[in-house]
Amino acid sequence: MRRATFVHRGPNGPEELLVTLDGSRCSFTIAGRAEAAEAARLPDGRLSLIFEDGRQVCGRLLPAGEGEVEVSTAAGAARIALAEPLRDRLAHPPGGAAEGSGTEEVRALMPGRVVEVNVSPGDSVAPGALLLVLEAMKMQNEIRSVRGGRVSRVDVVAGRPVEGGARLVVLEPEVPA
Amino acid sequence: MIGSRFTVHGSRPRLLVANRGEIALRIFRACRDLGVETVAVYSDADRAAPHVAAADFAARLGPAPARESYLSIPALLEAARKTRATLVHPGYGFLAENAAFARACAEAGLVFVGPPASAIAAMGSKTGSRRLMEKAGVPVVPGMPGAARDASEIAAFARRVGYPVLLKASAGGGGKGMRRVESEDDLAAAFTRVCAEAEASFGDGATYAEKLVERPRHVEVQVIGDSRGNLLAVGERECSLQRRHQKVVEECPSPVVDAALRARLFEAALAAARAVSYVSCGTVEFLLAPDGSFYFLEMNTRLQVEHPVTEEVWGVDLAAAMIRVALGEALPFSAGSLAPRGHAIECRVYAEDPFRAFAPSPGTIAALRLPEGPGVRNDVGVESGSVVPIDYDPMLGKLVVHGPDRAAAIARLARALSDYEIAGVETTLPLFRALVNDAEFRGARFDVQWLDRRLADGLLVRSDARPDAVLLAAAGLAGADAAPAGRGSNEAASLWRETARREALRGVLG
Repeated sequence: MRRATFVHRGPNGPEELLVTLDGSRCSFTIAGRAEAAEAARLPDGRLSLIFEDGRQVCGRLLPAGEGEVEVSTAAGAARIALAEPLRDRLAHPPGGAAEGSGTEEVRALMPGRVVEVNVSPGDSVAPGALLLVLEAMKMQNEIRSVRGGRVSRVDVVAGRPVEGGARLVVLEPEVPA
Repeated sequence: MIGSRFTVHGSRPRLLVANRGEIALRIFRACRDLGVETVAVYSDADRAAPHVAAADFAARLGPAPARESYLSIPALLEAARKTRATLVHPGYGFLAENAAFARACAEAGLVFVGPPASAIAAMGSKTGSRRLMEKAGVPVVPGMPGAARDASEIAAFARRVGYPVLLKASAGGGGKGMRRVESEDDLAAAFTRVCAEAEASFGDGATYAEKLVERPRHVEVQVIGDSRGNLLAVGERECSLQRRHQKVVEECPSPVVDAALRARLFEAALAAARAVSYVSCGTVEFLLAPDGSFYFLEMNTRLQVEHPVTEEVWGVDLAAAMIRVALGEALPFSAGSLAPRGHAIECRVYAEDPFRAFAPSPGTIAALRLPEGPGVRNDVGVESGSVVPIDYDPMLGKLVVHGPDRAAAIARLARALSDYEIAGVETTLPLFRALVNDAEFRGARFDVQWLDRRLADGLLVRSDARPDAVLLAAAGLAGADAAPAGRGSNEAASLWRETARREALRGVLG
């Protein structure tokens, strides 16, 4: 079993995307939504996914710019901002034009138990700062801030269970003094 | 080897294509169908190109720059001599409309697969061909016969043909030294300005006027003639979809040409071809005004890029017919034997980035999957792994679809585009995907400037990736199923066992 966390920058801003691989089975959690699919690598190098409702999507992945990947499917080729959190931070340095200005809600990617909470309301956090640790599927996941900002809410307490998609922490953009 | 229809004393005709890319492959296919041997030529950039590997014989021309290779008449004649070619086909572009090349081939004892050099020369001159057409009764855009001495001469002309008119510098070209005039009030000032601009830009202030055809369509007629005096019009093509005067999408037939207009277009095209004693494939281009009047634009004295749409609808092989006619045969079809069927559309697939002002996108083609199935034809000059050189026209190939009517052809085009994959270089495929969904394109409501206008107001929008594509990308990045499905090491072992079992059974059943 393998797990990987990515940051996807789509129309809704940066979102964490968790992938769990178990043989050919892939589970995804993004924005509190869970999906599962069966994956197959095709002889010509393309990848095909068949989701649980039967829909099939097939395409080829090509490296694109830093923090990006190009996917060509039947709908044409699209450049997707998708990368591991560290690479994503390199591609979208905080303070740059790429930095979002809105409120960031950090949500649980799957049901689990809060192990520790590292921030309190009013704290100022840098992008990539450790916010809390969530235990899910017998693994401890570090939940980090994508953009950074000031913590305006903490909705969880260490030791308590949380539902998949539950709001954990809310970050507000830092207001310049 | 299957015998050739042209075999005389055991020697088959051998045709050299003085070109590269998809058109070289297209002509080689016609050669194979006819039993004619094929000769490829190549520059240093093209040693590994598909057209070389497809040929029976091949000869190097020179370094990559076209001037030293595909445009070098001495290098081409030497290649023909070395490979003992008997015919030369110029394709399109490069030397296809170069009368000196046609003449040089004839002088070297080679059959030039194209029109007589005299016809190429006559149609190659803008002013000369215009005079020739007027004499032959082919409609040309009404214009003044020579430079105007003053504004009042232009005013008299404009009163006769109607406004708007276009003032043009006699020495001008490429859109320079032109001005549109809407009414007599603006004429004097515009005339002074164009004369001054022409004097400054070209050192020659001579200015004349033409009637301005507004919102015209580009409609062209395919003609083909043999050396026995047969000359035919094989349908028209609609080529109004142009980006900066370059054709992008072509159709057959034109969605706006009815039977009566078609008859008039054919008559004018045949008169144009007859005026230069035309033999071989050629195309007479017209500007078609919204009121149904049309005007001679020019004649292309060659096989055109967009010939496949005519082939699909009219059920003919123009490339093969061109070779047969060059070998002295009569046209393989007659007006009575031709019957158009359905509608065809061609898209020119270029290695250009439509999201970056169509900048050329040379590089290596990482993957290529071509659409297949009913009504789909690909004339393509590259394959997976091909390098698209920066030295030549970046056209990769042509996607041609055919259906019972225009709506069906568009549906097939949409289907084919969803199956078409080119990775590694940017291509114009996104433009075609946008077009098939555009209401004005679907309604055939366009003119020669339509695509430029439509691109300027946002025909192409880079859409967000679909959610499933994001998940696919994530699965791939996470390393989902790195081994091809059904090809695990255990399975390979069991395949060997299965083969052994079958071999044993065969022995038993023997």
